Amino acid sequence: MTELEPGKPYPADQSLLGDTRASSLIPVQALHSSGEALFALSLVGSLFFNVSVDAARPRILLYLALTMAPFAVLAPLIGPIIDRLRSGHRGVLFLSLGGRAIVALLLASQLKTLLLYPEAFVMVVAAKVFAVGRNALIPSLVEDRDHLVVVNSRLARVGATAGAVAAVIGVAILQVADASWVLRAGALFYAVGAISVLRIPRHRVDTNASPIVESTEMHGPGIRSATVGMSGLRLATGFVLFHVGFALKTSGQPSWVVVGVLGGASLGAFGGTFVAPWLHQRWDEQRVLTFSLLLPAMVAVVTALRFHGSTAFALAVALGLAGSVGRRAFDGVVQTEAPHTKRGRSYARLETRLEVAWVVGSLVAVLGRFPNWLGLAILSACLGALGISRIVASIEAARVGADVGAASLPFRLLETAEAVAARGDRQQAVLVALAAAEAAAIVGKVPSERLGELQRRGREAAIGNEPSVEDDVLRLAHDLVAESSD
Amino acid sequence: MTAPGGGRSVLRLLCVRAVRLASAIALLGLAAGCSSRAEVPTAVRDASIYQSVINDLVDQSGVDLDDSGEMPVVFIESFEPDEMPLEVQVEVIAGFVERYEIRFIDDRDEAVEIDEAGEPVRAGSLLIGLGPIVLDGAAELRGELYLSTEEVRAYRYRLSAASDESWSVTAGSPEAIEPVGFVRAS
Repeated sequence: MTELEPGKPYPADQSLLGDTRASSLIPVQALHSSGEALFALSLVGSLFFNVSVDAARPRILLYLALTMAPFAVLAPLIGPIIDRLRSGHRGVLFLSLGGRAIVALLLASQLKTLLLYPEAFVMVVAAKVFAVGRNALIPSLVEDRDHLVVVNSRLARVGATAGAVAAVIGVAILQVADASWVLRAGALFYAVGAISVLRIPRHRVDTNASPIVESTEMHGPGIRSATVGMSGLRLATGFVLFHVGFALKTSGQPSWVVVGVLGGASLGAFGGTFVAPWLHQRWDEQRVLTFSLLLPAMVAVVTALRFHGSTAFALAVALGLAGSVGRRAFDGVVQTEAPHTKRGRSYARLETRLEVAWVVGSLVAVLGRFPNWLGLAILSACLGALGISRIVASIEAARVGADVGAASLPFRLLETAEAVAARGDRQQAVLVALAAAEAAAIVGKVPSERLGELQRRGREAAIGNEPSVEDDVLRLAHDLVAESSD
Repeated sequence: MTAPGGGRSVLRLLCVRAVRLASAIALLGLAAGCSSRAEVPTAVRDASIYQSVINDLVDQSGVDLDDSGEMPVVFIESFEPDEMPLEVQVEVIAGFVERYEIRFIDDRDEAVEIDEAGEPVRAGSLLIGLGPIVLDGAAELRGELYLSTEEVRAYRYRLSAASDESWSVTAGSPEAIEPVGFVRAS
């Protein structure tokens, strides 16, 4: 596992084909994104733009709330299905794409009826399931873990390009037919995408993956902080989609402006895949993620001061770019800080949190009924506060790190040993406790005979798997580290 | 590491969660469905009344909506104290789907070019205001027409029913009255 360092390009940015197993996801991603673009385009000809926002609000709220239900219930199952069944991941992706193809066909003839709401809800849920399933699957398909960020980035680029091409096709269809045919074309893309899922290689179940190591890694401070930042970005995306969508409708902007703003988000996401490596050469991942929060916060201020189609477009571009850059940084943090995490369920849990954040952001926008400027000001303040809090936290962490220095290393290792023991992996805890004692011997005074005794007991514990010996080792290590600091 | 019997426990977990999900969705769906089903007959009746008034107001306007070559847009503002129900809006939209694109507005700025002199309706279209329906065997309501600040008209309509789904403007109606809903503009 090579740690990503600022100043160095992502390794496989220089390779064209990259990871062969993950390459099978490229057509799936391209077809899914094409379907997404056509689905979004078809909504411009739907009831959403004909009915008044206030009348539609309760129904949108109901279905957004319903969107949460499958995540609360199903999301914890997606990971185990991917982990335990060799074709589980294909099943999840096939069902989400196939389901979308069927619902898109149904929706094509219901764009101007009340069935639009439940059917659009099913489309959104299936899209979220696809996102969770795909992102949970990628790490198991990537041969070289150093390529995780690159594979995600390449998929994002492929998706954005395919979406743009599909949008052009959709606009051409609109010239000769109506929105229902755009959606039927989308259904075709989803259906072909579902078939192409079958080309994804069978999943290798990693029987060596330790749930405790994964859990410890995935709950580390770096990943926790990055997840909060990324959740903030996803929340902002959901909020902006509905808040700005309603604002554009109620300010009388024509439908093509709404399409343009949606296109702006895709354009930003595409641009982000090029900007991210450039930023990475200058900053580490956490700093890039902070930038991703502050950029849309600043643009939101301008949009709040003067709401117009062009400023809404700028906000969409900024948010799309921030989402793309932030996602790459987030993947980088996960890649660096959770190198042994291979199980789908760990990723599924993380992805689910991000998708739920999107739904929460949407709910806040629909429920809040904020005036244009106020909603955007709140968005800007929240993103800005999150970004600034991350800057303050990183300055504080650097200061504490400098103050503490090497003297605290034995204690930190001991804490890790106790945390690992509390999670149930006592053998691993014993080894970390031994490392703590050895660190104490390096930085302080530890009698060599006591260290030798501890190491002997440690060997017994590692071989014998005897709980009482393991407890003894942990206790001895604790005493030794405590005495060394006196 | 896969625990022995892990597959079975996942299956059991899957079943339990699927049942919970189905129950939750069924309950929420039932709640949503019940509330809309009760409103359907009223929605069809109200929509039919509104459609007749809209048709008449479009005729009265003298605006050639078919001139643009694209699907003409007709903006609708509800003067009801409460928001016009979504079911009614959808029925009205469906009634004109082949002829006009009906847009119910939340804010008058959505339909009017406020930066232009005379504040005309966007895209050379027209803005129709609909008052609450009063039923006394027949139906009575106020309909207003806005083209610009200089051109606002208001009428009182009486309609009679051939059936719940078919209402027509009675002879002698509409009667011209003073605008109330678009009074700010005039």
